[in-house]
Amino acid sequence: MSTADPVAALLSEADQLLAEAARRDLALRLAGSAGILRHCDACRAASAALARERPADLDFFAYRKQHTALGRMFTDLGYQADPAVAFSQEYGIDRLIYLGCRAATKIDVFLDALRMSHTIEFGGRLGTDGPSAAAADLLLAKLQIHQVTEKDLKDIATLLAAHPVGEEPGAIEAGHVLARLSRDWGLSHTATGNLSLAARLLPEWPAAGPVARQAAGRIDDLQRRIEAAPKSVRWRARASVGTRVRWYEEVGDADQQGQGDAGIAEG
Amino acid sequence: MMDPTQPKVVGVSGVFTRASSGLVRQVSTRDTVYYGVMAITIAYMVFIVTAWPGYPGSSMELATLLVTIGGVLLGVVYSLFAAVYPRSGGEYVFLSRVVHPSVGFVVSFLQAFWYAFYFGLNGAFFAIYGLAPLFTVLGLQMHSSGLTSAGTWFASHNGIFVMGSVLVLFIGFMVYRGMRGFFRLQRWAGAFAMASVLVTIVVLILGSTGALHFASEFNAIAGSGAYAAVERAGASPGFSTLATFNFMVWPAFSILFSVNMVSFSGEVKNVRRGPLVGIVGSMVVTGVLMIVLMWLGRGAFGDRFLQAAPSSSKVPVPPFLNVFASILGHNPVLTIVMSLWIVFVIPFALGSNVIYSSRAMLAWGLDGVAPRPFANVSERRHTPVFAIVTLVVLAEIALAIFTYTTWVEILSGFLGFAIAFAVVCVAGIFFPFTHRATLERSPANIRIAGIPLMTICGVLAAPFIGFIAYRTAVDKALGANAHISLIVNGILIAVGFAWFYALRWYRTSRGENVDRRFKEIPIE
Repeated sequence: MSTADPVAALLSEADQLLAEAARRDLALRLAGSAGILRHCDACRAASAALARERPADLDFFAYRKQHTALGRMFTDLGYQADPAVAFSQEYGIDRLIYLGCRAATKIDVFLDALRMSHTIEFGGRLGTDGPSAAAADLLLAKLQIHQVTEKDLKDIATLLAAHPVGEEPGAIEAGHVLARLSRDWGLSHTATGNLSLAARLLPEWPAAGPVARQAAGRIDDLQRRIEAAPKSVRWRARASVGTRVRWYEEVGDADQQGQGDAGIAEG
Repeated sequence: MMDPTQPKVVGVSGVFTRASSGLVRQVSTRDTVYYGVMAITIAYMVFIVTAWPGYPGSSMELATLLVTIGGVLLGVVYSLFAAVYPRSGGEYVFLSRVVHPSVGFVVSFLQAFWYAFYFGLNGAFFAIYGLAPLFTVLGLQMHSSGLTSAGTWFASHNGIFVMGSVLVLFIGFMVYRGMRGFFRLQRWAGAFAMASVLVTIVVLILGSTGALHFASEFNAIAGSGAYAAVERAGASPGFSTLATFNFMVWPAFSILFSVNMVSFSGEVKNVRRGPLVGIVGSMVVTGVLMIVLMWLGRGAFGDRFLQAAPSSSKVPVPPFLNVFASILGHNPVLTIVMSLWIVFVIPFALGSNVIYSSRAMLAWGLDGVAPRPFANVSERRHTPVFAIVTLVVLAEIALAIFTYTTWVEILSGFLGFAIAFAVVCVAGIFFPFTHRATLERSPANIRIAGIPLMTICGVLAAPFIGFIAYRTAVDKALGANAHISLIVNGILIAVGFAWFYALRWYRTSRGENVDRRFKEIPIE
């Protein structure tokens, strides 16, 4: 595969890591924007139609119980742990971060859960056939972003353009997504806000055409399902408080804190 | 410099740009408060009240209030430094960058040594102030010679050493397993301990208002007329301002220690709010609880009784506040419940000791001013195993010395801590002027009438800390100015400087630029 194409090089690096993990019998699935691109041909086509910027880093989902073996794998392959978080595992960040040394600028490995603006747990859900995590988890990982970017919104549109929401094979598992959103008001509030933003922006994105129309219809469908889904007592109790209390985690910069000596010279 | 994870709003409302994904640190503000409360160790109330008769005319409550105010000022300086330098490793991180690398190291070295010392001593305190009184009172209340004998054994040399060692090893193991589990355990223990304090307060209120009668309950245990005999021996001196000031060292030995939260400030979720709320909030909460317990304790047991009890031969139980509260409660279940603020809190005092020292050692190792093994973490647990094992060994030695010799006393290490607090205080006064640009780029750039808050708090805290340091050096009642304490602090300072310059020379001779690391600060 030619490395002149940055996306191809990035996905090639991802494939090598996935192959090595499989060889070591480790559950590792591609997530994030690269995971959406690598999920299926339909996702790749939709992403291209929406002119989604190329991703620069790699995100993976893995199991925490395998973190020692995973760490060894990345070290064996020449990756260096980000010093700012190399000593943070014991505090429960559930994440390995490696500095990029090939095509990817950075590699994140989320363990059992993605802990960002909201927490998306994927423990026990990495048994998918393909290289990427399940479409429902890929979608939730994007819907949970509090301060969403246009790239994130295009990823949401990509997934929904490529896959219907339902229970049939190939669909984004409606049951899983709705169950998650129906028990966490904060996540639900952020997710529906992001879906509305994506729907509003779809007509503005160039050359999206039928892909945009497909995505718009499914965004509308998902929003109606979310609204109709029965909510937990906890969801309703939190909804009564609303946005008067912060409903998301503040996301900081990995490099700003920690115990390593990563930093810049003063002055 | 632009923060790549701080999104900027662009174009359509609600859509942002972001150069890279961020990270959510996992130590919450709630955890920092629990940690601060545990590091302060409200259980020390027991020997604080026992020390009171040594300062005739002093007001425990006023002294504690003054210490809380002084502690808050110091705590603000610490938390602002944590906001400027959100790296784990304690004072070492910011003093080495702000004052001088050798000063940062020596202060940290001093602190780490004494925290290792108290890692062992707190194990002894667990048996002396927690288990021994609990079993002794339970034995008396339940007429069980077995329980009373157990209480006696816990107070014996071997009992103290064995139970102290068990606790040192348990906490060492918990810290080895990682901070996630430690904080989870701390939350539960902290909640139970606070509930226990509230129950104790209710019992003391009943005693103060006459609903429960301490004198008759005490006489039932110690013999008819025993309470009156003890009380008669007690003095009733008039209020003394000087004695109150002098007594401050005792609550200070407890309340000031929430500042050691800076040992893991690199892992706090919100580095502007977390350390400030954790350090200052825990000082205020614990200070208020201590004052309430002191005031109600005096009301329930009587000033003269509390003054005379520690030296009276007519008191057949350890002369501790928790013991007297248990006698007042006259119920074995209440006795157990009211012991939880001792037995559930002291283990986490050990925890704060070992966490501080091991994270400081890790920071030294990373900067190259300690042997490399100190910078190594377990592949499985991601914890600094070498540092933790070293500290367990040092704690066992300290525990053995405290248990089997008379060389050291409760406050023997306080002078070392007071020196460190004083250095931080002075550094905080001048930092906004010597490192103006660094402060202004940080979330600690808070000013009142144009004057940096760090400078204001440093200036106000300096006389307080100076006085505490002076008293620890001269107070005959403390053991802090015992000959060995002064000698050990002198040796530690000399060894610290020698260690730093020897390691620096060694690294430089191998082509490593150690000095460059001390010019680095976390990215804006």
